[in-house]
This record gives sequence, C-alpha cells and structure tokens, in this order.
Amino acid sequence: MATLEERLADLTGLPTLPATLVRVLALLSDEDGVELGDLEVEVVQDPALSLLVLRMANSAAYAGMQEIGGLRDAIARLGTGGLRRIITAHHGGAIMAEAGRGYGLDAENARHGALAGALAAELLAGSCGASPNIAFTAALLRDCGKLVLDHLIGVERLKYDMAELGEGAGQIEHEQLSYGFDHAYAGAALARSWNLPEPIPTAIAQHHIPGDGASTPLIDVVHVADIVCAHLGLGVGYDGLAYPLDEDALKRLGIDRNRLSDLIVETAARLSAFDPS
Amino acid sequence: LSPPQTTNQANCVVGIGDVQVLHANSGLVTTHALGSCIGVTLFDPAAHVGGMLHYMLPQPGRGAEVPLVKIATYATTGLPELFKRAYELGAVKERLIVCAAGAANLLEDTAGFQIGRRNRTMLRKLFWKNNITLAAEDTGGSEARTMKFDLSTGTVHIVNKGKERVLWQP
Repeated sequence: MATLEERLADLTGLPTLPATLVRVLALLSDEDGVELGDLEVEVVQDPALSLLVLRMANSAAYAGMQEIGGLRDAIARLGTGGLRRIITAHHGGAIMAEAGRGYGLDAENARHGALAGALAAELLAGSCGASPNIAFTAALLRDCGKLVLDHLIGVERLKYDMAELGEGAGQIEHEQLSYGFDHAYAGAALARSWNLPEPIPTAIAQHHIPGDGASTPLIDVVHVADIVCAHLGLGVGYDGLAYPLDEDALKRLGIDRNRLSDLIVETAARLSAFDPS
Repeated sequence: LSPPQTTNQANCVVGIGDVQVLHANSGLVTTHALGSCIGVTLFDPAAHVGGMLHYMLPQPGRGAEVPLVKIATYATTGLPELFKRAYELGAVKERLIVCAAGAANLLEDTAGFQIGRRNRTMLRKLFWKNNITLAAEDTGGSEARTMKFDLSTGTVHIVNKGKERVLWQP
C-alpha cells in the first residue's frame, strides 16, 4: 500500500503555491535578504493585492497623519516586514479558502480561520522566543492538510463520517483510525511537497498535539493560535471543538486564563481590522 | 456596534462580539461561528422587537475598562446592552422570549480555561439575578453552531454539521 508521501507525490488536483508566495517564503528565514523593491514588484502586478496594501497602509495599525493614495507611498509606509506579511496573508489566505470543504467549511470561514490563526500566532510569538514571521506563516497554513483529506478521502465521505461521530470523540483520533493519517500529518507532508522550510512543516504536523515530539516555542505558539480560533469559531466546521487543549503547551508559554482571554479578544479585533469583510 | 434599528424588514449578520436589536415585522438575524462564545436572542412578539448578542467571554479582566466598541465582547456588559436596547424600542421584560446557544468546550480542557463553561455559568448567574428565564437553550458539548432568528415569528434555529433544527418556535 502506498505511503501518504507516495500518494502526495501525485496530487495533481491540489493547489500549488503561487510563485510570489514561494519567493516571499523563501526569504522568511533571511531577515537581511528582503529588499523592499523585490516585494514592490510583486505588489504592482496584482490589483487585488495593491488595494489591500493601500487599505492596510491607511489602517489604524499603520496610519500616519496623512492619508495615502499612491501605492508607492503605501509600500514605503508598510516597510519590508509589513509588506511581506500582507503578501503572505493574501496568497496563503486564498489557498486556505479552498481547504476544508469536507469539514463543512465555506471559503470565508476557512480563510478567516487561517488569517485569525496567523494573527494570533504573530501576536504571541514575539514574547515567546519564536519568530513572528515564521509563526504567522505556519499558523496561516496549519490546516492545509484539510486540502489533502478533501482530495484523498472526498468531501461527502468526510462530511458523512463527521456527522456520524459521537459527542466527545476526538477528531484527530477519528481521522487516524478511519483514514490512516490525520490532517495535521497530511498538512506537514503537503508543506514539504511545497518546499516550505523547516520548522514550518513540523509546526503544522504538531499543531493539535504539540507534545507529540520535541516541543518548541513555535509549535506551542501555533497550537495556542489554533485554540484561539476554535474558541472564536473561526475555521471550525463539522469537526467543531473536538480537539485537545494541551495545558502543558500553555504553561510553557506562560499563558493563564486572563492571557488567553486577552488573546481571543485581541485576535478578533486584529482580524476585523485586517479583513473587514 | 450597530445602533438599535427600526425597520419593517431586516436581514443581518451579528458578528463576533456584536449586538443587534431591531424593531421589525420580518427578517432573519444570523450569527455564525459560535465556538465557546454564546449567542443570545430575545423576542417580544407584541412589540415586534427582536435582538441578538454574540459574546466571547464572561467578563473583562479585573478593573479593566470596557470601551463602547467592546461592550458586546463580555456577558457582563453585552447582556445589559442587549436588554437596554430592546426596552428602548418598546419591548417589555415580561413578554420577552429568550434563547441561548453556544458555549462549546475543547477536549481535555480541565485546567481552568473552560471558556465555554464559564460563559454559560455567567449567563445563568446574570439571568437568575435578574429573574429572566431561558425559553430554550442549546449549549455545551464540542459542537460549533450557527444561530438563526426569524423576526416574524421569533423562531430560533440552530445549524450544526449541515443540519438545521428548531431551538424554539411559537
């Protein structure tokens, strides 16, 4: 029987990463390697992305005294880091909008779940010893394995199985028992097939069970970001909240009840600013 | 936050941490994404007033001030706002039909986080203190829910796993 990796080698129906995103992600771990001009070229070729850049440059997070109407000025205001984040969210969010049809997710819910996770992870990462850029990307793409299950198992079969699943049953165990792998594992394999650099695939693999292997701040951050989204009901479909909360991961990050509540409120506010739709 | 509205027909979506109260004869009010959050509807059939709140957390941190834009984030501030807006549009407490849904919990959430359970506890505490009875409730478990509220009849539907069921109807 073919392994998952062998089956992943022939997934012609799955989305591939846009070339822009590949180029931007390749620079993720190289803080000095990104030139504003390199990113600017990517933006001007894409009208939807240009509009997003203009809107973000005039948002409360970046706005100065004067409203910006020109793209070049907007790019300058956002800077390299801000621009890279918006390009990643724009293209990554579009791919994630396709994930999870078999989990009952529509495009908007899937995309909002991905964006909210990215924003929560970014918010948390800086104070936890993880790179905010990498946490943003890993959390954005954490559920890309749902694309694989939609494709390999089929949307109707996934929906039927989840509808039949009893209250209290864990989704990860259900997927492992029913299909031989879960969406987190499949997502890591897909991320590797997309040539995403480590530690992103590993963080995707362990985002529901961070203790399933050596824990790192990044893995814990992506797990907590996923929990924040579950509480907000974002990116949540037929699977509901049937995932474990790893108390040890929260302890390692120093997150108590109040901090988790703050994260939930702040993530909802950031998502609303980032994507008012 | 949206101001109270007077209209003959209303179709609207109540977002996360949002409240809407309408004086309307028809229309559908919907809230998606009820994870550990709670959706609360109220309906006065005589005054044709209906409202919905989608709150995230039981209460703000100790001593924290709640700005107006976050008033619907918490049960302790959002619930009074929901009822206040309904009374401003002519609703009468004794006629109100109140329903609630949501408050799901993650698995293995035993260390005191339990936001869904605490959201539900705060709802019951505030309603008990204010002598308000729930006409129907669908809370707990690990289900994500969508809540739909028909302003013409007060009927409340819950959608979960693609299936729609009636939570309350006249």
